[in-house]
Amino acid sequence: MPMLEVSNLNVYYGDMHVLWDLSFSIEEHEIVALLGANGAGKTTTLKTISGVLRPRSGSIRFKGVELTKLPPHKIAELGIAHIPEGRQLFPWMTVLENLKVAAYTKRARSRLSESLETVYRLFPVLKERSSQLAGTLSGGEQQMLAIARGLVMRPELLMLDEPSLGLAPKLALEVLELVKTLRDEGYTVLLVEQNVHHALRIADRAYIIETGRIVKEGSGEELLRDEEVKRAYLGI
Amino acid sequence: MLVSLADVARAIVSGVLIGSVYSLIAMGLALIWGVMDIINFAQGDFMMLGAFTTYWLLELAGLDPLLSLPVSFALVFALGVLTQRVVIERILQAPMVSQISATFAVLMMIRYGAEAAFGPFTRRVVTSYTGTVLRFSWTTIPLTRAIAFSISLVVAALLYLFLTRTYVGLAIRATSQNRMAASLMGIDIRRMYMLAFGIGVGVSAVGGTLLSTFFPIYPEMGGFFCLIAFIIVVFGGFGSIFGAYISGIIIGVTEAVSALFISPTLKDVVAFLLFIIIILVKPRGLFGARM
Repeated sequence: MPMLEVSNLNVYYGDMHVLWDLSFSIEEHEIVALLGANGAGKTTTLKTISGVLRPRSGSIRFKGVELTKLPPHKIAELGIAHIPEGRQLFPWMTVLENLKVAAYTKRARSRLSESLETVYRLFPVLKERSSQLAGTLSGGEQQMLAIARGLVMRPELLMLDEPSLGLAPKLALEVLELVKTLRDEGYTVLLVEQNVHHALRIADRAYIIETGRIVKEGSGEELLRDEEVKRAYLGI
Repeated sequence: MLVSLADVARAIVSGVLIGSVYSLIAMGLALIWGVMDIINFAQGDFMMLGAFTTYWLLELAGLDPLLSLPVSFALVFALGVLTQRVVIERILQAPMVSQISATFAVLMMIRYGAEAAFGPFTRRVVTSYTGTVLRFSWTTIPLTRAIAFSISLVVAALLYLFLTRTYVGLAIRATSQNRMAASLMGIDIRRMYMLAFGIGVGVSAVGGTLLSTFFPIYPEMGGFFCLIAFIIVVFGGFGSIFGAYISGIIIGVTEAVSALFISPTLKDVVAFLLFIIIILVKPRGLFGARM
């Protein structure tokens, strides 16, 4: 049984139909990338999984539990961490307070000190800045904090929305390498990424979305070699 | 008229003492606004309920105001949670005019409900220490006002510790800074709203209890205090709870000093003028920071 199974999902913004019968699945311990142009429906998909948006029809099952009727905080408690686009930090709270809030759920709170060790090891700069207000961090540091918050939540499924957006190229690569490391450490990852080339290199499998529909799926390697993908997304 | 330095010092002390009570009402208003983006026009009326709780517990049960203070907080907290569930919850996404009308409706129900129940009369909370004064070489301070000031400081400190040192407090602040992110971290936003509204009006009720020990109480008393609290909150910077505390004291002192130099009847005019000037010069308020 897949860890996450999305079937026939239909989502609307008012009268506008944005996701059309979307179906895909994620197995435990894999990186699945969701790729596509701006406005294709990637962010909408993540928001629907995490409960921020409600689908009109269809189902989302996480380890057998139906998510579509649950509010976001219940979904977080089940072990899904959604690291949204644009970092969405608490800007007037310190770095450490941001991390503490991320450990709000029962599953995360008891393991906070262990989690802090882990994220400080991954991002030493966050330890240095732990008493600084999150809003005063640089863009790269903010992105690290956003990812660190996701890890502190102790999720089973980590959903990352454009984690490399706005980062210097070198840092962007490091972030994607980190995603791979996380997979190797046992996390399952759903990755939305604008950098299709890098995403396909680290992804075990990927789905391509166009205007709210899945038009292609395959392993990262297959899609890297796919002529259509090359033309449409890799500029080759 | 000659004003001596001692007169000014006395005015400042008396302004700090009354300002510290304004501050409590304003902090509650700032908390509610910061977390929910709702301006609670009934804030002064929840304060009045706190004052009347103290009055009736003294009259009917002989309970000292200091002992009825937690009761006053708890009762109004519960009423605040109920108001949140029944009224505010439904208008969170509504246009601002509907939000204003809804909290105004709560104001009318509380204010005129109290007037219907208790009559429009002015009452006083009189205890064994009501007339007691603390004598200093240059001034005297009524004991009740000194107590009110001390408790106001303690309540502000407790609120500060709650919001910065506890998980629930952190969650309330997180909700005020980014609702979506907070809910994605597992925070139940509706619960935070209930707590924020309950605590916000509960703190105001504590202000009402303290005020009742030295100020006549009547069902319509909330109007002035809500207005002054609103000014304090805008003055301090919307959403800044501790800015509200400091601003409350500044407004209290401004009133007292202008009563001394200009005229007691014009003291509020000066406070409002100061408010307009601050808004023109610093539209985000004196303390721009959020909670």
